Amino acid sequence: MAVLLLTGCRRETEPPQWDVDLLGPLISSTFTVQDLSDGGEFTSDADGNLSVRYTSELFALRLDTVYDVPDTSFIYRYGLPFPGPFNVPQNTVFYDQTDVTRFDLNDLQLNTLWVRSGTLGVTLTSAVPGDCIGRFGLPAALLNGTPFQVELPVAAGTPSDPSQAFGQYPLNGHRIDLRGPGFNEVNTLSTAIQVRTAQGIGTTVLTDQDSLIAEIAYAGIVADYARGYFGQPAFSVGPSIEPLNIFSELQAGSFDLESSTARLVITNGIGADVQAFIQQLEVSNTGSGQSLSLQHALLGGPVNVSRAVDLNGGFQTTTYTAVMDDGNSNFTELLELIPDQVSYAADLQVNPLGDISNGNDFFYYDSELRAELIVDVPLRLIATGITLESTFDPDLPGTSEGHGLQEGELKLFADNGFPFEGTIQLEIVDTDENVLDVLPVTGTVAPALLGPDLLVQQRVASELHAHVSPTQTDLLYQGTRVRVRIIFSTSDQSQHLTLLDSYALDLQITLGANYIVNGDE
Amino acid sequence: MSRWVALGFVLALSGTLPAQDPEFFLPDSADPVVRPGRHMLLVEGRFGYASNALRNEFVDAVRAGGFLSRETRQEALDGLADNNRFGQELGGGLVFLGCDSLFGKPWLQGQVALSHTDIVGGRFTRDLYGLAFFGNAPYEDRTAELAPSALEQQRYQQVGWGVVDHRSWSWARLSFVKGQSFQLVDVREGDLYTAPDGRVLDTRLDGTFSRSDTAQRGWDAFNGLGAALSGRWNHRLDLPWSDGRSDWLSVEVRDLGVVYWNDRSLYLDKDTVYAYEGLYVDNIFDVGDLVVDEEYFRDTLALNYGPKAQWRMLPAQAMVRLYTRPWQRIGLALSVRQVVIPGFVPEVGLQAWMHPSNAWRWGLAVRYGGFTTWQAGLQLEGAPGRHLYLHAELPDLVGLASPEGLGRAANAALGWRF
Repeated sequence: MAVLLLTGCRRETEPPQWDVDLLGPLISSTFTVQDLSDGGEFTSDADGNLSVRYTSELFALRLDTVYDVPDTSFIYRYGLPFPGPFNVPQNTVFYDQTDVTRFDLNDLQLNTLWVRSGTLGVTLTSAVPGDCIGRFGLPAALLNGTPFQVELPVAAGTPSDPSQAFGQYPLNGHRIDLRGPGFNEVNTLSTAIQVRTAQGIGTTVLTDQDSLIAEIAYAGIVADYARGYFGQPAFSVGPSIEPLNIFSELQAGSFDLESSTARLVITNGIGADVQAFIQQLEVSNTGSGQSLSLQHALLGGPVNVSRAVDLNGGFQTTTYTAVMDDGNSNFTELLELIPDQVSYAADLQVNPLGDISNGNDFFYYDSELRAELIVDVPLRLIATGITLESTFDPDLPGTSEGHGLQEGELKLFADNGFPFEGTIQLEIVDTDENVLDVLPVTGTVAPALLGPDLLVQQRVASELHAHVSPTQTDLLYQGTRVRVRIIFSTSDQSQHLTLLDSYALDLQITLGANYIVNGDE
Repeated sequence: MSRWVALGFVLALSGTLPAQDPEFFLPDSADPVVRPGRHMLLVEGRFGYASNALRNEFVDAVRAGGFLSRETRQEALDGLADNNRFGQELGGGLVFLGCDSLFGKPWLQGQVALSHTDIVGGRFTRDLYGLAFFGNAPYEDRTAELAPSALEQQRYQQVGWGVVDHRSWSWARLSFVKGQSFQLVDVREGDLYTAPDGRVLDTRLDGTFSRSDTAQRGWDAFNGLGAALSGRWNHRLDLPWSDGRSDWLSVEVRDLGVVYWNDRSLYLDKDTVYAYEGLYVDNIFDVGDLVVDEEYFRDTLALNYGPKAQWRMLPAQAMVRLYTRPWQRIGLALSVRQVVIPGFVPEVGLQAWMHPSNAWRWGLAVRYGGFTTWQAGLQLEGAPGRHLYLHAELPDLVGLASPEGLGRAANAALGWRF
C-alpha cells in the first residue's frame, strides 16, 4: 500500500523509511500424539483408546547373498590325434563332444536352477587353416522348452597366428537341470560342443599342428529359483544397531507406562529349516546414555523356524513369534527409557537336522529370512517432563547490516485437549547449540479438565507471551538459531491417564512487530 | 523584491509586437503560432505535483528520504479526508512549426512534435494511508476500509505530425506512442479486518492490478506501441461586450489514444475474500523448514500476476475554454479541464490576462479541482523582439511558497521564431 501511495513521488534512490506496527497470525497447527513418533503407527480401539505400534526390522537375510553362484569358466581343446594330413570337406563336422560341467557351489547341492539373469560367453581360438563354425549347446537348459544352443563362426588361423571369435549370450529365464546326463548328480550340467568347416571353402587340410580351443564362461548368474540340498551353513547376524524411532521426537523426561507388548517375529521364506540363537537384545537412549537388556526366555535358547512351503512358482512363508509382555519380560522398562536404538546379535544354523527334505530345499529370488521387532504400547501413562525440541534457522527478511524488523511480541494461543500441562522455552543458540540468550515466555499451557473417569471432559485455552527485544532481534541476524522446547507432564502424576485419539492441542502463534519499511538490505 | 523589479524592467524595455501581428496571443499561447510562412521552434517543460490532502512538508519529507517521523506522518493523517487524491506530471517536448503552406493552402502549416510524459494519479482512503504508514496494529479489532483506491502511472514518448490552421490557430496532430512503462492498481472494493491479538486477518478485495514488463523500465524500454490524437479547435465569437475584440471558444484534446502493451506485461483481476489465520503446518516442529515471504503470501492469497498483453488508454485530457476580452487590455478565460486518470476531478479555472503591451501579457488564475482543491497562480507570456517567445507559469503560488501547501508546479516554454 505504501508503494501505491509513493510510487509517484518517491525518489529512485535513498527511499524514505518509517516504522509500522504489524499484527497478524504467523502459524497455526494442531498437535496430536502422532507428532510424538516419527515411525510409529497409531491405532485406536472402539472406545478411542490410542495405541502406538512400531515395527523395527532387525535383519533380512537373502540366500542369494549367501549362496553365491560364482563366475566359472571351462575350456575345451581340440587337436588331431595323428600327424595327418587329413582332408576335411566343407560343411563337415570334425569335432563333436558331449561333456558335463560341474559347478563348485560350496555347500549347495543343487538339482534345479532357474536363471533370473546371467550370461554365457563363448570364445573360440582357431589355428585351423579354414573358416569354421562352432556350436555350443546346453541340452538341459531350457527356455520355453527349447534347449540353449548358439553358433559362432571363426575365421581361418595358423598355429603362429590363431584367429579368435567371441560371443556373449543371455541365460535369462532358462531353467537348468543340474542332475547331469544320468539325472543322478548335483551341480552338474550337460554340454555339447561341435565344430564344422564352413560352407563354400573347399577342402580343409588338418595336421596335428592345428588346434581349436573353446572357452565357455558363465558370469553374473542370479538364481530365480534353486532346489537341492543347502547343507548346514551357519551365519552370524550382528552385533548390529538399528534405530528405534518409536518416540523419536522426545528429547528428555520420563514415562511411566502401564503396559506394553513386544513380539519378535521371524519369517522364513526359504525352503530350509533354520535354527536361531538370539544372543543379545538391548535398547538404549543415546541422549541420556542409559541402556537396558531384554530379560526373556527367548535369549540364549534355540528358536526353530520351519521351512517355507514350495508352491511351485511361489512360496508360503512360515513364521515364528515370541511374545514379550509384562508377565514374561521387562520390555515395558525398556520402553520407559524412551530408547532411540536397539542392538542385537544372533547366530543362525541352516538345516540343523540335516537333509531331511531329501534334496528338496529351495529358495526363490524373493525368499528371505526376516526378523522384526513389533512393539505395541497402549498410551496409558504418567508423563513427567517429556520434552520435545526443535532447532531451526529463522528465515527473516533483511541482513545483519540492515533489517526492518526491530522488535516483536510473540503470542501463543493454545486450546489444549490433552491432560498435559506444558511450558515452553525459547532460546537463541549458536551453531554449537550454546545458549546465547533466552526469550522469556510468560504463561503456561494449562491442561484440559479431567472427568471422574480420568478422561478429558473440557478443553482449556491458554495464552503465552514472549517479547523479542531489539537486541535479541539483532542477535537473530547473526547466524544464530532458535531452539524451541515444549515440556509436558500429565496433570495427574499419581495415576495412569489414557490418551484418546480425539485429544489434540490447537496452537496459533501471532506476531506483533515493529518494522521499518525499506529497512531491509 | 528584486525579482519583481527585474520583471518590470523587462516589461518596460520589451518591444511591441509587430503591428501586423496584433493577435499573436490569441486564442491561447500555450502553443504559440506564427504567421503563415514563418517558422518556430518551441521547447517546453512542465512539472506539477498536487494533492487535496497531502501537504508539501510531508511530500518533501518523503522525497528527501531518511526516516519519516511519526509526528510528520500523524500530521498528514490528521489532514486526510475519506477520499484523498494526488497526482504528478513531469513532461516536456519539442515542437517545430514549418512549411510555407500545406496541400496548396497558404493558411495551413505543418508541425512536428516530440514529447515525453510521465504522469501518475491516484486516490486513496484514509485507512489505506493509515495501514501504509502506521501498520495494521492500530486497527486491531477494527476494519480498515481500503477502497475506493487507485493508482495509475504511465510513462511514454510521442513523435507526431500535424497541421496548424492560421485562420483560427486551430491545430491537430497524430502521434505514434512509444510506451515506456505503466502500472495500474484499482481497488474497487477492499477492506481488512484485524482480529484482536492479530489472530485473524480478514480481507475482502475486488481489484485489478497490472503493469508493464518489469525487466525493461528505463528510457530505452519499448514495452508498448500506440497512437494518439491531439488537437484544438478554436471558434471565434463576437460577444456583445467585446466591442469587436476577439472572443474565442476553444475545445482541446490531448493524448487521446491507446497503447498496446506487450505480452510480457502482467495482469491480475481479483475478487475474493480471505481469512488468514497463519500458515498451517502439520507439525509445529517443522516450522524451521518454512519460508514465508512475499511469494508465499501471493500464493496463499492467489495474488500472482499472469502475463498478458493489454490495451490501455492514455491519460487523455479534454478542455473547453471560453476566452473573452471585454476590455482592451484585459482578457478573461473560463475553462473546464479533465484528465482521464485516477484522482483527477474536473478542474474549473478562471484566468485574468493583463495586456500591458502587444509583446507581453501576464495573468492571474484561480482553479479548483484537478488533483487538489484551490490553486491561485501567476502566468507570464511574451514575444519580445522578432524571434523570441517566452512563457512561464506558476499554477500554485501558495504551494510554491509554503510547506503547508498542497502542491507545487511550474510550466515553461521557450520559442524561437524565424
